[in-house]
Amino acid sequence: MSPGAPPQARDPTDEISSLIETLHRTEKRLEELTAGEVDTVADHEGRTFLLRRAQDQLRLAEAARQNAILNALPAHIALLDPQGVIISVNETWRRFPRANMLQAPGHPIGINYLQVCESAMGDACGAEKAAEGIRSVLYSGIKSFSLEYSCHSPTERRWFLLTVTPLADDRRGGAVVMHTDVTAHRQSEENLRASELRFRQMAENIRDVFFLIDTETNRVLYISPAYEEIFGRSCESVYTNPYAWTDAIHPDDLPRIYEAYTRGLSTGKLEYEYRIVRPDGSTRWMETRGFPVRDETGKTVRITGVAEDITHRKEAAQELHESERRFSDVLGNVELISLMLDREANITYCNDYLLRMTGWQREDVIGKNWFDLFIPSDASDLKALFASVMEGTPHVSHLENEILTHAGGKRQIRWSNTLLRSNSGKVIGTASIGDDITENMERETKLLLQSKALNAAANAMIITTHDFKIVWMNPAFTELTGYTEAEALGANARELLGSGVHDRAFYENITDTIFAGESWRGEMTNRRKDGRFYPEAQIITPVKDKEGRISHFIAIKTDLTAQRQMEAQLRQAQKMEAVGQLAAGVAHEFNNLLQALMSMAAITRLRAPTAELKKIGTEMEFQIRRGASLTQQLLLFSRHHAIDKSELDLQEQVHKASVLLRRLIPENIRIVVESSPAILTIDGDAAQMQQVLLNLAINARDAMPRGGTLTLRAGCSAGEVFAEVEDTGDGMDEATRARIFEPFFTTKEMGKGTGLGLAVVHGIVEEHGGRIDVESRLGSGSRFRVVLPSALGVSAPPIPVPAEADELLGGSGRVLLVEDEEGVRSAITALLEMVGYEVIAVASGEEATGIPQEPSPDLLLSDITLPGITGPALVKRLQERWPSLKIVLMSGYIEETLRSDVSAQGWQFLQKPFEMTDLISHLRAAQEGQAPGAATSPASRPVA
Amino acid sequence: MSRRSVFKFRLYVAGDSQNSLLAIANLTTLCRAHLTDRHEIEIVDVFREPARALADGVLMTPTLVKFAPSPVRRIVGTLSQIQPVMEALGLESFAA
Repeated sequence: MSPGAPPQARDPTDEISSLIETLHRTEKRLEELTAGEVDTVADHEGRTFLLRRAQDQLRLAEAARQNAILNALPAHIALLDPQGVIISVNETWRRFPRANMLQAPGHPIGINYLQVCESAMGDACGAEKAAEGIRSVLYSGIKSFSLEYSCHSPTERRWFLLTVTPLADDRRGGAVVMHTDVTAHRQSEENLRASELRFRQMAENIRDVFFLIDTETNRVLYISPAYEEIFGRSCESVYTNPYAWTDAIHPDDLPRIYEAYTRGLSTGKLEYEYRIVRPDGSTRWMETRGFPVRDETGKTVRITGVAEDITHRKEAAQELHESERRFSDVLGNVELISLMLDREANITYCNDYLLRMTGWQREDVIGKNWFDLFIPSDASDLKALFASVMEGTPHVSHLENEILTHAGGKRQIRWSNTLLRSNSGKVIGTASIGDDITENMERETKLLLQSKALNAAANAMIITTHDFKIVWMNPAFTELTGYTEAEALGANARELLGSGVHDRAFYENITDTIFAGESWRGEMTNRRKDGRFYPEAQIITPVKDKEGRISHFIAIKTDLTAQRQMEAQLRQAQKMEAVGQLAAGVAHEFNNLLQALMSMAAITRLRAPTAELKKIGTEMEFQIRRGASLTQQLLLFSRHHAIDKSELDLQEQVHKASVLLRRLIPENIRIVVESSPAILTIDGDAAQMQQVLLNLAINARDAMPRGGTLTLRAGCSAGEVFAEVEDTGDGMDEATRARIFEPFFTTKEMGKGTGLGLAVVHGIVEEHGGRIDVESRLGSGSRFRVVLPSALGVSAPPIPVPAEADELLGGSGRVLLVEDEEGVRSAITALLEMVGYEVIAVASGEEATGIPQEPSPDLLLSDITLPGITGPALVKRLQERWPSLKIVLMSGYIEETLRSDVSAQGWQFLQKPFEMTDLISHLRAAQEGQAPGAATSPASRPVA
Repeated sequence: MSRRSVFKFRLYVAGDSQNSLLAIANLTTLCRAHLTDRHEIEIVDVFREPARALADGVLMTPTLVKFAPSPVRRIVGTLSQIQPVMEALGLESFAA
């Protein structure tokens, strides 16, 4: 409908109906077209049309919103119709029907509110006024009416504000009644009024004097009643004469205060302290402070201020002085030295503590020089330092030094120093506080000593937390395990060192023991940083904290490697001893056997009718000699020798070893002996040299399981001699080579090597002052060169010359032969008879003692080891019968001790198996009364 | 169409009227469910900015306009029927 449309001719009512119909249909169609999902439609000019359903919804939403606002308001709101009947109330009104006496209880709609007010109980006056006000709004066109009224409940005081406004502009439209709780507002107002009242009361009642002065007229506008009390004069006097108060001022203070007051009137600021004298003659201290009150142009028009009685404060200041004095008394009693020196270091003050400590009397020290009395004479630098501080060099606030006591003792003091200055800033001395730290120092020194001891301890020690984290370790620990402090601290000891050798139960046992608060002692295998295992003995002790909980563990470790090594060496030695004893027993039997053979071979050679037989005899003798050499080597090898050095030909040692080796080396290994033309003399133990060479050779053999060549070589270079053992075997890598001389290191299979072989070699060579050079490459064999210092100036040992038959003939005399082995007995008998001796052969000592006295024997040739009477005992008994009897003893094997006994007695001794020439020469030597041993050297044998 | 392309929407509404509020709720729910972190929504109230609706040729509210990714699509209504709306927006392939 366009506003500008011309009036229609037909009945407007009909047209309106028709337009409404169109409008209705249009809307309906629009709704249909948009399926009810559209709120607005617009035309191309932008005219937006809100569909009716959306309009309704918006209206409802708006009403709901307003309703929500009304309901949320804390005010109690009701709508009244023109007659005063309640037609609607908000939620607050509904919820608190009894909060206000002007609200009807129960459901309020439909009740005439005017009647409610008129019939209200209690503050009837208030209710009547309310009803009147509502009426005035309803009927008289008043735009607003409000009324504040009290409505106290039994528990609290409450005030409400009633506001009545017309419901609409239409004056007959009813009214809105609103009750607002204004208790809080009312209370704050009351509070304000109360505080104003209190201020007045305070101003009137407190002891300070308040005043207000008009600066233009210099009149006192107000002065509080306290003036009368404090000054003892009437307020009235001040109102009439503004200077009246100055009458009370103490005459000494009056000129100053008068001047200050006069000046203050122009500046607006007053601030001074003064004394007043009251009519009763008492004096009080006052303080006056005044501040300007300015008008809008900034001009001071008034001064407001207060005059305060500060007598108490003044007295308190006095007391402060007193307490300072008391404080210094306290300082005199504390356990600290307090000391003051003047520029010359003379003592101007000291406390009792210093005197107590040093044993001086106060009168002996005050005024005396500090350095003369208290400082050791060797500390002259301190005196110089003091002097330089007095001259202005930067001052030392803290230092430690020794002071002397009266008795000459020393105390260590830690000082805190302050310079004392005059008002002009000049240094006039020092003040010092000193703490006696002698005990601390002693304790520190002791701790330091203990810590040094722990660090120096040979045993490795660590301290761990209760969960085994290492928190401390000593240097021995690094030595033992290879871990540095940086690596070990914070690490879990078990993880760091665990070798995995022990099972869980083993560690659990330890844990159980130490967490039970007991020490654990035991041995275990741990792992070094380089991965090697080592045995150690450990004592782990728990440490408890103050609360008695276990906080740390201390572990002390002893490296058992050396001990284990010694144990193994001992075992090896014992094994060798056993083998040696066995060998000795075998050697005895074996040597007897060889002795019989040797004798018979000699007879064969000497009696041989043909050259061919003679040669066979010679060959037999040679082979028997080799057999004898073999047993000799076996004894040497197995016996545990004490080192027994003599001059040795290394070449001969190599040769001897090679002889023994031929029996130990399998046939697929060729043995080559390379000798040197030079004489290679060393100072050494023959048995040990043999052991060195044999051990090296056996290793060489084990390195060549598939065969090869073993070369034994002796030679010399640069004043040193050497023996070499070389193989063509597997060789060694660098890592193996580095460790071969360590005890128990072995590359051999379990049970095949002791791991001691090369270690023993090393030990022996070192003992001989030599060294071992090793050359080896994996896959191309190894060469061990034992280098030893040469022992010069020694002649070559003589080479035995085989004896010729005729030069041995011509033996004479009667020989008593005692030998239990029949083969040996008969062979020797035959031999001796062959060379011309007369022989009485018996099988035992008993038999020998039973032979006839005549013809007396000249010589006794007896085995030492006999059943029944034997050795020295037998000799003794036989010499009793024939005092001139000469003695030659023989044995397949005798103990070293027995052997030396024999030679001490001056008897000849023959080691079985012996050569025929040895036998003859020993017998001759005995007959000629030569010293024992002389006959053993073939050189002493008379050569025909 | 890249899986990661960002959807840009403009929704024309008429104040707080019911269908408009429904359309806003439906659109935000749909975007949260199917276009997480890759959508932008601008709401235009035709009562406050009638010129913009006119400029965009929007004659009814609520109307949803999808600007990106192309092609531009318009959907009139409360967007209550999810399936047809998804299809119209080219989101079918991401259903399920």
